[in-house]
Amino acid sequence: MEDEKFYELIDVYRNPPNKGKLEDFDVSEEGYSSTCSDRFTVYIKFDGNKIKKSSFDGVGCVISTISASRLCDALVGKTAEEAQSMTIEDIKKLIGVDQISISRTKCATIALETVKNALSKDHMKA
Amino acid sequence: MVMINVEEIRKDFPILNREINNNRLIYFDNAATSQKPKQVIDGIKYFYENINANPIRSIHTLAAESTQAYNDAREKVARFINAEPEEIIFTRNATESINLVSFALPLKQGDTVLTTYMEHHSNLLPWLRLKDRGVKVDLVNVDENDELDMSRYDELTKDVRLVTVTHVSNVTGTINDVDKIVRRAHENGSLALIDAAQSIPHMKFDVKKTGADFVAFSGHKMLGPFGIGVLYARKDAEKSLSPFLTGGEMIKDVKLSRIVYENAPALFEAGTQNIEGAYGLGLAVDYLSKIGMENIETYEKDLTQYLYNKAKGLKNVEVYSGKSRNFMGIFSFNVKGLHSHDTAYLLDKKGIAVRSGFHCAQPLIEDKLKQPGAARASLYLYNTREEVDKFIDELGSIAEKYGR
Ligand SMILES: Cc1ncc(COP(=O)(O)O)c(C=O)c1O
Repeated sequence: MEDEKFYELIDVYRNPPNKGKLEDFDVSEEGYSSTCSDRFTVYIKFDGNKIKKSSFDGVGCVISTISASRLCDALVGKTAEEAQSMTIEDIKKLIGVDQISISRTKCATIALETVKNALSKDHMKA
Repeated sequence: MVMINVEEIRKDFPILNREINNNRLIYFDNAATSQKPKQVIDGIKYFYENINANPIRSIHTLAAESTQAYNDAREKVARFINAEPEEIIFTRNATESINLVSFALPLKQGDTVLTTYMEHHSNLLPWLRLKDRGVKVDLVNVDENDELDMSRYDELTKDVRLVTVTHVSNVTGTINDVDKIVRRAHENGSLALIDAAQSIPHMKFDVKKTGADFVAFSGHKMLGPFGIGVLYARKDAEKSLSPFLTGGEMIKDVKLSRIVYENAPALFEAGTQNIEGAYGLGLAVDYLSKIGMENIETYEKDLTQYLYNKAKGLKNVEVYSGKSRNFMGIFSFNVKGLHSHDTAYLLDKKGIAVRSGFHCAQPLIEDKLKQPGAARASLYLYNTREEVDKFIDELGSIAEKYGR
C-alpha cells in the first residue's frame, strides 16, 4: 500500500461507516489485540439465518478500523457459516490491498476474528 | 563531557548499514531490543566452531572449555554489576527472572507484594497471579509528572513481604530512586526486587550500592543475543528461594527417598543451559565495559536532551515521556488523530523503526496516560544527532500531513 492510498483511507478512518453500537442486535462480542492495542466490539443482527446488519465500536489503527467497517457491510446477507469461512484474503479485497505485512496481519483480522467468536456455537446458544 | 566515538561504534554494528524502504535504517526501537556488534555476532560463531559441548556434565576437553566459557561469562556479568558470580543466575530474559522469584519465593495468604503502576507486564502479571493464593498485590501510584508516589514507601506495613519496582520505565523513561526504595523496604523487613531491564543496558549499576535482593534484566537489550537473561539474587536472599524448575544439573545427589540439591546458582539452572547465549552476553558486557557505562549514560542523556529540544517545535504531536525530573532514552508520543501503529508505519516508510501500541504496560498507558497506545522512539549508544534530525523532520511532515 502506498502513502497516497493510506491518505485516502485516513478520511474513511476518521468517519468510518458502521461505527457505533446497534440498537437492536442478537450477538455481540469484544475482541482484543494487546500487541495492537486495538479493542473492538462487534454487533450482529440476524434476519432468519442471514445477517441483516452489523456494526463495530472501538479504537484501532487505520487498517483495523477500515477492515472492521468494510467487514460489517460484507457480512450483510451472509449466514453464520458463510461468515465463519471468511479469511484474510477476503479482508485484503475489502480494503483493497494485495499484501499485508506480518506485523499488520493482526490489525487486519481482529474484526473478523471477533465476528467469528461472536458467531461461534457457544455464543450463539447463549 | 566525556563523549564516545559514535562513528567508530557504528562500524561495529553491521545492521546499521541496512536499507529499509530505500532509506538508511534509523533504529529507534532499542527499548524493545538492541542491535548486536560484530564482536558478539562473530563470537557466537566462534563458540560453535571451536568450543561447543555440553558443559558441566562431561570431562573431555571440549566440555571443559565449554564449562570454562560458561563460568567466565558468569564472572563477567557479575563484575559488570559488582556482584559475586554465585549471585548470577542465568535465565532466558527479565520476564523469566521475575517469574522465577514469583514461583520460588514462598509467599502465602496474607502476604503483600507491592509493585507499581509504572511496570512492564512482566513485573505485574507474575504477582497478580499470586492473588489466587491469597497474596495481596498493591500498586504504588504514578503522578502527572510520571513519578512514583514515593511517600507510599514511607508507609510500608509489616505484611509487605516484597517491594518490586522498575528502575527505568520503558514508556516514560522515568528513572526511579531505587536506592531509596530498597532502603525503605529493608527498614521494613521486606525483600526488594528491581526490574533493571531498561537501566542496566544504559547506565552503571552497582548491586552492592543499590542493595536490592533481586535484580532482573535481559541480555538482548544490552547488545547480547536473545534467550539469555539474568536474575541477580543476593547471597542471603537466595536462601529464601526454594527450587523452581527441577531436573539435571541442579542436584548433588539423587536417591528416590532423598534429594540433595545443588547450591545457587546451579540450583536455579535446571537442564542444559543457553551456553551460547551466556557466552554472547559475556562478549556484550566486554563491549559495553570497554566503552564505559558512565560514557554511555552521558552520551545518551545528551542525545535524549537534543531530541526533546528539537521536538518542542513539533505541531500536532503529543508527548507523554520526559516529564519526570530524572529520565532518559525514551520519547513516547502520538500524532494527534493518528493511531500509534499508523504513525509507526509511516515512519517505517522512511526507514525509521519505532515501537507502537501498549509497550506491555497497558495499565500505565491506559489508566494513567489515558491513551489507546503510543509510539515510542528509544535511543542507544550507536544513535546519532543526524538520526534524531531526520526523525524529527519526518515526524514533523507526518504530523503536518496526517495530524490534526
Ligand atoms: C521495564 C521492562 N521490564 C521487563 C521487560 C521484559 O523483558 P523481556 O521481554 O526480555 O523479558 C521489558 C521489555 O520490554 C521492560 O521494558
